[in-house]
Formats: sequence, C-alpha cells, structure tokens
Amino acid sequence: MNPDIYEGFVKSAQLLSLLATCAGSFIGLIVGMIPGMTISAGIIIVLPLTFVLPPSISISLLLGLYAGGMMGGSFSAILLKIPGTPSASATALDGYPLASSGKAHIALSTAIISSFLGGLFSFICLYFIAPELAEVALSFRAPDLFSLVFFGLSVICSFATKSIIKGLLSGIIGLLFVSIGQDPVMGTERFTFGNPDLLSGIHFLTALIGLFAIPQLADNLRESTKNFNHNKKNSEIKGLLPSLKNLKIMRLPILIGSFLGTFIGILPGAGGPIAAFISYDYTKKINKNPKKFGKGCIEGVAAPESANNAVCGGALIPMMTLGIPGDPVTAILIGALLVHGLAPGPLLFMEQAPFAYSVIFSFFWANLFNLLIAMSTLPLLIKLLKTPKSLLLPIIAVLCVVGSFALRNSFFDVYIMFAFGLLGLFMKWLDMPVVPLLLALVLGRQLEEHMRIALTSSQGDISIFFTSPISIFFLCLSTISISWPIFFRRRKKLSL
Amino acid sequence: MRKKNLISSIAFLIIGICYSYLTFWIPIRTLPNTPGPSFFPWVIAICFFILSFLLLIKNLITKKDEKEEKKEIFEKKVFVLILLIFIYILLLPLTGFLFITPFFFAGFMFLASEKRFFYISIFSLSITLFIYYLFKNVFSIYLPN
Repeated sequence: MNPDIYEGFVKSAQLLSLLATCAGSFIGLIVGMIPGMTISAGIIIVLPLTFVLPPSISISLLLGLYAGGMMGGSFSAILLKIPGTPSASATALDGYPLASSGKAHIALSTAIISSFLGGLFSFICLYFIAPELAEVALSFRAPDLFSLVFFGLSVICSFATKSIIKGLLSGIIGLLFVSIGQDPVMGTERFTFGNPDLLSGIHFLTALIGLFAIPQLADNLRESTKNFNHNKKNSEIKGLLPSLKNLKIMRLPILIGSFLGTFIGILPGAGGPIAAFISYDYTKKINKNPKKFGKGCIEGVAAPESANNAVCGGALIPMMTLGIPGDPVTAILIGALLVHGLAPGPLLFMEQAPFAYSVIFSFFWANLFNLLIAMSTLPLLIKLLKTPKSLLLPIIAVLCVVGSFALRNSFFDVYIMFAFGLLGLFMKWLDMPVVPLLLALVLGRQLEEHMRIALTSSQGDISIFFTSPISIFFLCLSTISISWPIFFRRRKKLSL
Repeated sequence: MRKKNLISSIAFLIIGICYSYLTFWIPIRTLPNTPGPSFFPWVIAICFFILSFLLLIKNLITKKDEKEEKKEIFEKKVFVLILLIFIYILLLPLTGFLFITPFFFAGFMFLASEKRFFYISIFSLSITLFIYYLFKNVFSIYLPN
C-alpha cells in the first residue's frame, strides 16, 4: 500500500479526528434538520472553533457537518414537508406522503440507508479519481490555471437563476473586494486608504460570516413566531432497521442516485437540489409503475437521498484537486483550509499527500457516523427540532461576532463582518444572488495572479491563452457554462 | 422591483466612477509590456460599468413591473436587529464580552418573541458564560475583557 494512503488513513482514524467527525456529523444532522438553517450557515458558525484545532481535525469536523447536514435535511422534509436544506426538496415529494400514512419509520430508514450508500459511492469515486486528476493538473501552467479559474468563476451564471446581469454584477462586486490590499504580484497597495488592517485585504471568512449569517438571522427572525406543526403520527419513531424486501426495492434507485449525484457533484455549480431532482425524475421514468411516485413510494425517497449525499463526494473532487469550489460549502471548506496554510489544488497531493488522503478517509468516516448516529439517536434528534428559535438565533449571532473576532483577534474584522451582513441584506432586497460574490472572493486573487504571470511571460500577448490545448479546453467549457443558462432560459421562454 | 433596480444601477454607476478614480491613482510599478497593479482593477471597473449600464437600460426599457411576491426584507424587526448588533459590536471592545453579551442576548431573545423574563435572564447569563469559558479554556481564544 502507498505509504501516503496508509498515513492518511491512520491520521483520519485517530481518536481526536474520529471524535471531531462524530461531533461534526451530529451537529450537521441537527443543522440540516432545522428548516431555515443551511449547511453553509452551520459550517460558518462552527468555523471559528476550528481555527485552533490541527488542520486534519478541523477538516474532519467540517466534513462531518457537510455530510450530516445533507442527511439531516431529509428528516424535516419527511416529517414536516419542510426540507431542512434545498437538496432535500425532492425527498419531501414521496417522504411526506409515506410519513403521513403512518410509515414515517420506513421513509426515515430509507433516507438514512440511501444517504449512507450514496455517500459511500462518492467516497470510492473520490478515492480513485482525485489523485489521478491531481497528477494531470500538475502539468498546468499559468495560462491553463487562469482558464481553469475562469471556468470556476463562469459557474456564476448557473447561480443567477433570475437575472444573469445581477449574477454577473454580484461576481464583479466580489472581484472588486478582492482587489483591496496588496496586489498579488508586485505587492503594491491598492484601495487601502492608508489603513494597515486593509493591507492583507478583506479576509474571505469574515466576509462570508456576514454575508450568510446576518441575512439568515433576519430571515429567521421574521419567522420566529411560527411554530412547526408536528404530526403526532410522526413523533414516535420505532424500528428503523429496513426489511429485506425494502432493501431490494431501494437497490436500483440508490445506484442511479449515487451515480448521477457524484457526476453532478463534480460539475461546478450544479449542486445537490439539481442532482436530487434529476435522479428522482430518472428513477420515475424507468420505473414500471411511475404513477405511484408522489403518493409515498420508497424509490422516490431513495433516489434523491442517495443523490444529494453523493454530491458531497463529487464536489470534493474538483475542490481538492483543482482548488475549484463546486458549491458554497466547498468554497467555505477552501477558506477553512487556507486559514491553516493549506491551499487545495494539485500540489496538495504532492506536498501534503497524507493530509489529502486523510481528508478523503474523513469523508468515509463522516458517512459512517451519519448512519450510526441517525440510526441510534433519531428520536432525540427529532425532539431537538422543537428548540425555540428565540434561543437559537442569539447564540448564532454571538458566535458570528466571536468568530469574526477570533480569526485575527481584531475588531476591524468584526466591523467588516457587519458591513458584509448589511451588503447581504441589500443584495437580498435587490434579489441579487450572493453565491457569485462568494465564488469571486474565493477565486478572484488566483484569477489575477495567474493572468498577470501568464501575460508577463508572454510580454503582454493575450494569444498565450489560446495556444495551450488545456487552456482552450477550459475556455470552451467556460463558454458553454456561460451560454447554457442563457440558452436554457430562452428555450423555456419560448416553450411558455 | 423596477424602481429598486433603477436606483441600484445608478448607485452602481456612481460606485464604478469612484472605483475608477481610485484605480487611476494606483502607483505604476511594472516591467515594460507587462500588466501592472492597476490592470486587473481596470478590467473590473470596465465590466462593472457595462453591467450596471445594462441593468439600467434593461429596466428603463421594461415598462411594467413584473408580478412579484410582496416580501419585505427590511421590516421593523430587522431594523431593530441591525441596530442591536451595531450597538453590541460598538460597545464590545469598550465594556468587554462578559458585561455586554448578556444584555445583547436578552435583547435578541425579546426581539425573537420570547417574553418570559425568567427564561431570558437564565439563558442570557448561562450561555454568555458558557461561550466565554469554552473559547478561553478549550480553544485558548481570549475574548475582550
């Protein structure tokens, strides 16, 4: 066995790492379950606690939360018909009717088993594909890297569902913030107004805490008086172990969901909700009795649940090998790694191979703990759904303030966090998506750096981007990625 | 939404002008025939102008406001929340975490429709202490005193 793989496995299987993964899974399941709390918000709240932990332990915690959140979202979708996360929306279609007919335990056990198997499948893909892809990516030069990062940014268009102009504007605003501080090549001060706190630029995580947490607090505050309606039939969950007959029914939908989920996860920008709906639709189409879908069938829960958990492993592949985030959560994970001085990308597998493998194995443990925790403590988790928001919201607010302070022990960061919170609210008011801004904050600096290095080596000749086959490949992908949503929208308009 | 878009596109254009003005004053330190530190900000400024202008034109052309859900983002409760957080972060370095946090916590609980005085006082004090000691003893992060 490759010594790096062995060392990575040992690292991930150490007691503290396992405890962190377990804790992450538990928090993730709760965060995922609570409607109105996204996985991104959950990770942001926990993030400050990970600054002082060693990188392998902190990433174990965050991966546990990521995978746990995906599974947890299905519980509230099944029991309340309110998806805890957007990825669980498809699960509610058949999960809730199943629960309403007194079969909540079957729906929940199907969701748990499918999530676990979907996660496991994507772990296997991650384990085999990531190192190979990293090796290919090692041969990339500055123009290729620029085109790759540009492709990562072009995903912005798929997040701009309502208006492409607003989506692109949001991305440009992100780049505008990235240009604050010293420039990445010459170290020249830009837009610092003589403030030493701005020399190193705006910290990505500070901006993120404000952008995601404050609008979320405002959203939840508006709805804090609403109580979730618990169906008495669903309150008592007994016998979560699935029968052999049900396991047989789940087989094919899980396979479809896992495969589609992993593949869609690799594509930047697509994400869990799309994967869940596509696999639901596909399973329905190939089923002998498609009419039973929507009325409470096991296949309708198994397919989307395995897909949304498979997305996690899929999204980790471009994140770890190319440094390109596929969704907001992987963007935050990149930020978390950067705090520890580890830059995700092909070099991670060269210079920090044991760590890279420990991340992969931690993802396996996260899926395993999800299964064990969900199976053993589900009744307790469901009770936690009743935690009053009047208690939960102030805790989140205090943790956000403390978290942004703890990043660099600076109150300046707290004020920046608050300013970004206001920006997030303003963008919501304007119906402008926040994710493009987030992607620009993560990728903007790299984009400038690779572009300037490439142009310096070519003496300012931009044809350098169109001579390398790798660069051309990524530029073509970017063109498709930008034009696809426009084309898709036109077709939709025409069909209406 | 049309009115909002018009106001914001004009605001974006003004921001673009300010950004371009500041970009103009970035010192030129570069090798011949290579992009300098102001190259990337200029690219951003141009894209920003084009997009803001497109947003403005698009909304000038649109005659009627599209049907939309009436969902107010900045309602009274949210304004109070923003004010509460603002006062909290302003006073935090002056008064210290242990003094100001219980007041902030209690204020937020009250805002989130919790009216039971006993619950508010118990939770605001106990959770403040818990967070303080968690950060201090477990994570070795010293919060301002």
